[in-house]
Amino acid sequence: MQFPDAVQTAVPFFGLFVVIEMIAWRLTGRGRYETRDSAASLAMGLGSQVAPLFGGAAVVGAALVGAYQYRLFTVPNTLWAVVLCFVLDDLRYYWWHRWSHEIRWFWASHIVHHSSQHYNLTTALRQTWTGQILGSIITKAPLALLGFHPAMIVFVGGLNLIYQFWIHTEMVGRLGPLELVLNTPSHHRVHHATNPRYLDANYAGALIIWDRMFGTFVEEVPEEKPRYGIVKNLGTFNPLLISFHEWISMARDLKSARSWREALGYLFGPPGWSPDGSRLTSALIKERWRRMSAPSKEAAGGASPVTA
Amino acid sequence: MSGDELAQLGLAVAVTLALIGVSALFGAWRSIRIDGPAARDRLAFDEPDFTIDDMMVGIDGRSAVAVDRGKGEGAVVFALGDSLATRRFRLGALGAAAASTRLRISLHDVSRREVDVLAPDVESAAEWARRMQAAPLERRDAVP
Repeated sequence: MQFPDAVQTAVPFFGLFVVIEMIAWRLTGRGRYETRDSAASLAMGLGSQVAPLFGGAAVVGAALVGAYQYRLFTVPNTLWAVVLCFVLDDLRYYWWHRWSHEIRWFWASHIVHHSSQHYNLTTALRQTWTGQILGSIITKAPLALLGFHPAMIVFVGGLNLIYQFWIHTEMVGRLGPLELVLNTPSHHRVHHATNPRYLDANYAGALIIWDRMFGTFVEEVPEEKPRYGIVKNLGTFNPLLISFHEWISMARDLKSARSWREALGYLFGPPGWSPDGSRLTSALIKERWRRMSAPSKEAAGGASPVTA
Repeated sequence: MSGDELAQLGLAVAVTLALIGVSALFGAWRSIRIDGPAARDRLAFDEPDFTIDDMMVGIDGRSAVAVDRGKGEGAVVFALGDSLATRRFRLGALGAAAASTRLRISLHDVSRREVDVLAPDVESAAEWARRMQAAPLERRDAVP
């Protein structure tokens, strides 16, 4: 079985669907586009395709091939194996994605994808230029050790990325029973929202079942429209600053660290961690929100809206 | 980089430029004009425990500055395309200077080094620069 480069094949279709969404935006008024924001997202997407060519792709490929040499089983290259590999890769993606939000070292790369205040198909292409190497090796090597061929692992990873493209839209509402199993535009809007109610939720790639299983699922509610971006939104469209701003901030923090504990906290603590608690992690933001909205909830007789 | 990779890169660059052009043609190159309600709404969302005791919105609609005397804090709201962003800071912790009607606040921020707020007159710019810098006095005055 031959495994094509799924992402490269999909690039022209990405462009086509962006144009279709722009036309729909002009005709219906749903969604939101801003040229400089889109340009920044597209530049990030372009850079993310170029960056691995500087050695990262080769390192990851070598690691997968190396792990495959020590495989426990030999999984044949059949259709059922591709389906199984896709599901396991999606589980891998869930945890990798979750760590990318919970550990600042990984967040420094992933923040790029969340740095737009818009949510449209160009946002899907706003991808990191850094940080795929370590994460890919840590999380994909087990699949090779299980016996899935490295080419198959790369292929299903590409399929997952392609799947996630179309869910970055405000054009699609809710999808009935599919919402139970699949990651949908509605679920992923929640993931990109900065509303405290929605923070740190819906990490799924293609299957939302992982969030339901591991307690991170939050439903989009009509009374609270998602507001996209990051809790401290960027002040620039410059792709270089978008790519490296969190790394620079982390380096500054590291320089100011007065102990190993502080240094480790700045590097591997949750985003927003600080030694004196003067900055806000998402847990603290949610706590503040619960505290500030408690009286109004009691008055309304409602339960906590946080479902995660 | 191989010839194939170069060709793929060329295609991706062409698609990117075409999409930016289409976006501009569709009228997506838009800039927001900040007014008081927009600035208050953004601050209330980003910093819900920040109490706006006073605010000055730039006459060009590009930025606004606010003060929470009780907490001894300031905040700026600035435009980025059709969106808004905020920064909150301790009064006296950042540089603030007035030059004619322009109040310039220097931020310790990688993605935005400074924000200019265009005051309606020279006196307002100078007064807000003083407020941003004179933190201890403002805080003592404000604490009940």
